[in-house]
Amino acid sequence: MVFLKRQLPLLICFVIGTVTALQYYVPTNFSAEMSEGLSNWYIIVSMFAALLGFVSVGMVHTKKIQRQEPGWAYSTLVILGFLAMVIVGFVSGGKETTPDGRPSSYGWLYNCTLVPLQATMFAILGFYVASAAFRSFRAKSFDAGVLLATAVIVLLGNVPFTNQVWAGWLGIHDVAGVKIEMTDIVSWLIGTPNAAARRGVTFGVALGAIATSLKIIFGIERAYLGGGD
Amino acid sequence: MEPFFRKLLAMDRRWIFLCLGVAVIFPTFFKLNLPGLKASPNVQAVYDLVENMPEGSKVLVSFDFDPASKPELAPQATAVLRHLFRKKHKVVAMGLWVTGVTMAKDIVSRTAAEANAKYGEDYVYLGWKPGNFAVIENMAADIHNCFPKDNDGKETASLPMMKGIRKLSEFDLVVSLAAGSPGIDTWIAYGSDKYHFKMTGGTTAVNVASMAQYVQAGQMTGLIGAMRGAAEYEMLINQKGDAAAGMDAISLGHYLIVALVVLGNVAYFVTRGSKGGA
Repeated sequence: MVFLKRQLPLLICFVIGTVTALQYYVPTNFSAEMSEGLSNWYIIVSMFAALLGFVSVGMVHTKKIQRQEPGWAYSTLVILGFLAMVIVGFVSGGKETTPDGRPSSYGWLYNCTLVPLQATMFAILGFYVASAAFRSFRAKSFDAGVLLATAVIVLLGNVPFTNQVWAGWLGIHDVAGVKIEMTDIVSWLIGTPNAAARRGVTFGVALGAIATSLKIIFGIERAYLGGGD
Repeated sequence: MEPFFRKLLAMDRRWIFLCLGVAVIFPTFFKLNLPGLKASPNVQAVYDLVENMPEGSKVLVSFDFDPASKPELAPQATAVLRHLFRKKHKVVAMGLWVTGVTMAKDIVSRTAAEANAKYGEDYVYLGWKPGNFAVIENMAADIHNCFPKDNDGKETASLPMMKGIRKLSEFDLVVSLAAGSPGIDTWIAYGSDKYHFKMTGGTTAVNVASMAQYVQAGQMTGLIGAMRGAAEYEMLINQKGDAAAGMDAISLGHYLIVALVVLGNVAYFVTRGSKGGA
């Protein structure tokens, strides 16, 4: 049993991990076919993982309803919504429209519930951002002041009317040949200091991911196998 | 002044919500048509790319967003597709986000109908497939194998347009309209960098800062940023749409937030150190 629970997964991980990494550097037909095969396997496994996710969500909320834990009414809505979408999806054959081009019941549910709900959730963020900007965005130190000034410039620069006032009415276009219209300033802020910082973060994340991947491939990191033996 | 600012700092946040609500709703009903919109270099680059490709170029448009980002990305998708159909390019649409499948289909069908584009000959909608980056890898090997059927269940290989498109590298351009990951960065890492096709795209306002590095490094050509980018694109194709209509609301919202930040800081500095101050 230890072999099935520990050694076999480690072996599969080592072989697949090594082969997948190496095929990137071996541009042959065999390598390409193997990559396609592995991708197919990944897609199949991810579909089963999605199924597991659905089952897990269902179980968590069913337990919550059974125990009548705080917020169990919301769990009922989750289960009802989940069932409604699945049943209506099956009845409509997974099609958003009927053969004559009208929205199917599945398409109707999508357009009239999911779309407005998601849009509303995201729109509400705007109100919290406005409130947070007023209450928390303070120039308490030099660094915070620089951040605040940059944010204000980018916010103002993203409004076309600001550029109209800046360049159109005040006539500020360039200084000694350097373009300083609001859009140019914002482009520079995003494309130069921001891109440099982001790239640093991206490199750091990528190096971390490589290190973690190597640890998993070589069996040093085994947390994904779960507890016990 | 100090008591006033102290009161201001203690203000119920619902007043802020109300102000923002008014700032966004007012221009929706009473058009201000604020001037000053000008194509930024990044949006101009995307436009030039589409404009200068020879007629009939093969373009893949990936809808990598869900309804949460619809206000920002749907106008971008609409404007880009209108331009693609107008230039008579062959469009293959798909998506990496499952919750965006139906929305994407609506946008593609609507813009295709406007241009009298025929399904299967001028455009195809493949839909969604699970697997994230693995879908890109599979499409690089064989699109017909990755998507044996289109979103409506028709055999992909039987569609006239798809007979000439087998691999990802055969596309003249890939456009990813993305609200996050999987999205532009996934297409670059697993697609364009490895299989060498031209890449461009659009993203939401919060993601512009993250995606700018790819433009600067030349890994993608241009970038449409948020609703403003969509409005710029609409201006370039000379066909105003939802983005242009929403720019007044966006503008007033931005100004209000700047005013709140400034006001909040003034109040902070005035009341700092005093009893009951910030």
